[in-house]
Amino acid sequence: MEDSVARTVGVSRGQPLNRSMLLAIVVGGGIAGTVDIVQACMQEGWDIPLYVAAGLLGRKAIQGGAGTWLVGMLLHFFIAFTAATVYYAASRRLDFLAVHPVVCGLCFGAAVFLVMNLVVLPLSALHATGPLTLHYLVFGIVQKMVVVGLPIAFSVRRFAK
Amino acid sequence: MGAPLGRREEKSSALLAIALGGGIAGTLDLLQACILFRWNSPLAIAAGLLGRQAFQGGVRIYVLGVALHFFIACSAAATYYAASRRLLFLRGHPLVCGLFFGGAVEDVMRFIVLPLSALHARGPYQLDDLILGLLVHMVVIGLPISFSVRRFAK
Repeated sequence: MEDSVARTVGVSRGQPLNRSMLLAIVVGGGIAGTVDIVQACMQEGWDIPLYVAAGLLGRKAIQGGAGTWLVGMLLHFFIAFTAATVYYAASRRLDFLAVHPVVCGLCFGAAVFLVMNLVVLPLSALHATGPLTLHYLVFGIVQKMVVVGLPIAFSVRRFAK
Repeated sequence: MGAPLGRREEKSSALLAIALGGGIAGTLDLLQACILFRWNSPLAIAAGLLGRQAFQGGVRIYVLGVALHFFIACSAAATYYAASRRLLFLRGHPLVCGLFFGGAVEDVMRFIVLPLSALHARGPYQLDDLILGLLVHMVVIGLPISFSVRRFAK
């Protein structure tokens, strides 16, 4: 009982934080965030982090400098680590998330894309309320399924105890 | 406990799960579409096969639209049933898996089937339509299918 409570909150006896939890989240979120931003920058240009920052600071951030660029990068990785944390936390209750990383990772990646584009971006300072093109949606869903979903799912499977 | 099921019984429980899940999902979805939009939505479904001239209507085209709709709903239920033979968690967690499955059905229909259909519905898409469609189908398609597979499929 005590053990299961400790596991749920991610604290194991004698350690302030569960190492395997941190490893799963940092490696999964790190790989997902890195591949995703590199892919986006290669496709759209290296000023993409400015658009990420604009989600917090508004459209004027698009003209920003190095500081703004860095804020965008930090925000991007904060979101990637948040996604990895959500998958890790869910996998504590739903065991199959760690057992079937391909199916569950692909579904999770699609969910990340839809939550970001249908909830977060419209509410952000960019007020991106569409309309969205078919190409953008299809490409975005497939890209996030592979690039975000799979690294997070496999890293939780590999590292989380 | 209990004797292992014979092939026949297994087959009938599969049919029951698919027919019931697909039937409830299809009925709820058609009703919400007809109430939310208009009672001639089956014509729009038939237009996915026949092209835009199906909108001119007629009883036979209306019936064809309803039949196509239930064919798609039962195909979705058959897909979930088939997947649940290998992925046992689809039966163990019908709430989470049903909601995700409903979302997947929505995405596949909207982004693959409709653009390839005779309607050539290729967007662009309004944000409200995407959000509403996703939420409605997660509940109305996903949950009846997943709970019916959990309840009736052995």
